[in-house]
Amino acid sequence: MTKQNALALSAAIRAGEISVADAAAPYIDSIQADQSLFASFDREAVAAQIANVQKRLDGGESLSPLAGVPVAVTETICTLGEETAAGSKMLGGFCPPFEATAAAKLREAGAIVLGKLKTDEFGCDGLGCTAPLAVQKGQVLVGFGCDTGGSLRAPAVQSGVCCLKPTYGAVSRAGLIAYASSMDQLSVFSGDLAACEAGLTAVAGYDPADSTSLEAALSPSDDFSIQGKRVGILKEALEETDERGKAAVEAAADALTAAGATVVEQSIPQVKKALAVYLILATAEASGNMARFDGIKYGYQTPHYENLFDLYIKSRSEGFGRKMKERLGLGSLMLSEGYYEPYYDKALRLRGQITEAIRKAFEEMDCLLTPVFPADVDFAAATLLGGERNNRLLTIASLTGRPSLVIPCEDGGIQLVGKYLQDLSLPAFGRAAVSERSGA
Amino acid sequence: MNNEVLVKMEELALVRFGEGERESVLAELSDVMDCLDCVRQADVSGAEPMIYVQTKENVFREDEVHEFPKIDDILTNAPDELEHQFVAPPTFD
Amino acid sequence: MEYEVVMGLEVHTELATKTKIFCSCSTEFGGGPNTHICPGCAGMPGTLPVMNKKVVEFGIAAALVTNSKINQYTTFDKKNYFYPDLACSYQITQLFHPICVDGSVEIETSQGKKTIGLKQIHMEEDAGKLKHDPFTDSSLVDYNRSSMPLLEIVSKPDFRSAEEVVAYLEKLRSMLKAIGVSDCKMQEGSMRADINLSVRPMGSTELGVRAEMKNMNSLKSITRAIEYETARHIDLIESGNAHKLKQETRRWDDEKGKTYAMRSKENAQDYRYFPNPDLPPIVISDEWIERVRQSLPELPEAKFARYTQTLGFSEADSRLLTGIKVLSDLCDYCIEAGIAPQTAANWITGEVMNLARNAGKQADDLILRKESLAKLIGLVEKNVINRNTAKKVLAEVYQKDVDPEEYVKQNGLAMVSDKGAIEQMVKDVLAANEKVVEDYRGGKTQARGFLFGQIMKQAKGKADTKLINEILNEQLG
Repeated sequence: MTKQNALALSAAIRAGEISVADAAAPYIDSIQADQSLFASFDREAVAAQIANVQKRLDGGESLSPLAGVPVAVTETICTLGEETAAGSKMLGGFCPPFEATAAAKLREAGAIVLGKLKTDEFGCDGLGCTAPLAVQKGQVLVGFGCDTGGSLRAPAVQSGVCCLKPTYGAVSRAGLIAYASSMDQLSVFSGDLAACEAGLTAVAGYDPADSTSLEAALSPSDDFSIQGKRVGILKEALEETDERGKAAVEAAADALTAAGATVVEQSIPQVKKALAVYLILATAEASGNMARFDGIKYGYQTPHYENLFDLYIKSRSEGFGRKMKERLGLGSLMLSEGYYEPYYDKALRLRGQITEAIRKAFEEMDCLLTPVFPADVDFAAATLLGGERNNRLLTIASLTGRPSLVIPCEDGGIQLVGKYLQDLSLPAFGRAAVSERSGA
Repeated sequence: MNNEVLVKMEELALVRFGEGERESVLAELSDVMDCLDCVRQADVSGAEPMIYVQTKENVFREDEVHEFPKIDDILTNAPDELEHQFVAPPTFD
Repeated sequence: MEYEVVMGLEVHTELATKTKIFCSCSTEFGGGPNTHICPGCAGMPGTLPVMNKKVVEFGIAAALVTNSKINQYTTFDKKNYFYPDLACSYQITQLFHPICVDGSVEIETSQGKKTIGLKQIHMEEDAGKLKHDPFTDSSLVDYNRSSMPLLEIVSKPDFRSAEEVVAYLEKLRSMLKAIGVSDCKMQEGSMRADINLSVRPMGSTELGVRAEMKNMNSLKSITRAIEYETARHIDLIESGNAHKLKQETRRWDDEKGKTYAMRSKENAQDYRYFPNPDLPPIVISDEWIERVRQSLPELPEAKFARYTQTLGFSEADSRLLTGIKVLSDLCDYCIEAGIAPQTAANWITGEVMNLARNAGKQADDLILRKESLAKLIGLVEKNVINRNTAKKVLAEVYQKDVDPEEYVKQNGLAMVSDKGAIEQMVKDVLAANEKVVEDYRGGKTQARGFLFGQIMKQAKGKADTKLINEILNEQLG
């Protein structure tokens, strides 16, 4: 199926050139034929959405640029009354009686949520997560999932799809199954950058239900021009990558220069510890967030147990996969006596150092350009460390809360990290960076 | 990283690894701990811990009741429910 | 060998807010199990805490009345452990930056005055409740109380006797009640005290092995628990079994009158505290502190000083009045309304207390319109009605909330104070009782009382007794 342009499709729908149902039909059929990427797909629920959006359009309501666009959310995002198992046996059967704020915003925007995409357990692995394939295969035009330390951006690029992770706090975390509270952000993935922008705009905004939600709005991108902007190339990232990665960055740098930007080299040696800092903080926070899964309130319960702690241990051991257990064990250890000071506390301080160093670097640039994958990327990595090492160039944004856009290209992919709340400028940088190439 | 530490992790997180996978888990976590060593060795004198990613402060709500409208749906998620309560094995104390 | 007992207290008080600390569920008592819950306080994934501003205000108020040093930058942390009553398997509390530190509470016991030092006060959430179901042999979990707002007041180990502990708890209770922060009802669980207790040889400066005692639901059981546990420690030491003394948590069993080591994993827990990234820090400005300070009502201590020193009430009266907010409110209002202070005090310690007693109510719970009381006393002071009538009107004010002035008018209860009318009454009575008059003039002084009674009867009890006495004296000669 030829990939449609999401915004063009929505414009046609809103202009009345095509009905919501007709626009959605090929996507519904595609999913119907192959549901392997979906954790849940309910034709009736979709039909109801379609009818509702059509009604609103017919009634003269002015809807967003995402109206009528077929989208999907991953199963780490709570949708009212629908199973939201986050890819884990531990949460099997969990039907939240509430809706994630972002999901509600999508419905308000008139997008058609076709179903919930499968993720790896709690969506924190990265490469190997199949959700972005739904866009690549043309089953949906825009997807929404959770990125913590590159867990969505990495597989997006691997699937040939763009992914935009917002400034921390720009999108509400209410209704997102939490992994690492200070780094999780609902992120958008799509085949084209304009759709990413529209997607982010639809879900962003202050939410009183999330105390970390920002009141300030994202800076609009209307007047944005590449002319005169400064793009930094991160030396330490180049050192981590291989010839392909360097080529990807070089090509992007050339294209950006041609578009009127100035490219400068940046050296921020502190980022070399980013992976370790990320691992410590993310697993520690996750160990706290995942402790509520106990086999008593919802989700999986082990069938035979002798007493309370036997119930806890068996339910959690059978419910969580091996890698998740490793994360939880590691995270708990990082917070324990004898480990808190040398690991967790130090990681917090290093996080501060990294963030400050990057902040300083941003005084001399508007955007940071890096490759997506390091030289030793192992697409088949099955271990915890192997998987996290793959994403390490992406953790910079996670630790600092900055927006990050990843774009696939011939030689892997490029990452653009931006200033706080300048998320919507990143697609413009991205368009200029890959303007010589097809796909975006 | 050794079996003692692995057992400690299991006890803190209330999870257990299968006998068959213990060895490879130990090896994996050993690699992880090696990676984390750069943090343990780091000199962070003078650096303040960064706990909050933003500069937000004083995020409050007013003391006004808003009842959750679907309380029963909270309980229907429970594997075991009795008289509108969650059911756990007997606890002492 | 003489020993001294050394104790520190951790007091938890439930705050009198309308909603829980981190969600908007009602804090109302009652309703069936799990009727005041939401996905947040029931530990569902995808939920986030949002801070109740009122809790911070109460924290500031508590800090002020305990002369604590407020941490103007205060944050929340997660305390991690697994138990069914803890919905998220962590409690949101304050370890690193509690709202205030280094306060103190003045107490008075039979040994005199003493200052109890406070280590800190912090805000935190409560856990839910577990109920054992014998039929299924399971623990039933109710999250109504999950995320209830608490203040934990941690003292220094300054206590040396059960009497001190009781005095402290009573003082805390009266302070917190006075500022409306908590109703501090131990029996209802809105105030709980855990006691850390150890003994040491008198004169030693090192602390002995500490036991933490929980589950004492009244001041009486606290006293008994302290006495029991102190004796248990001393016994073990004296019998050469000091090694059996462990640092542990012990539960007081009121029926059996003993403490028992708790079996739960509470002992030797690694709580893995870490800062909660879901809740931004709270910055308490000087202005905010001042606003709260201005809004604080007068504390019992200050009131006692005012009553004894400024108003000149006796210590006994002052103690009674300041000990019960209802009474001091009535008293202050009456004085404000122009009643002479001692008169107001006398009325309240006298007739109003009688009223409460007769109605079978604690003075605490007495509902009496202060405007009506002031008016009533005014009527007596102005000689419109006499004391007897006033007593009856007071009962009506209490039972039916009548306006005393209206009621007196409607029922014609005003005293006869017309001099002429009384003169006539006296004349009539004397005329009708010549023999008695003779007896009086003959030296039988009791006869006067009879005559007085007859006059009152004539006046249907509604006469100015002072005036009657004057005129009677005149006419009797």
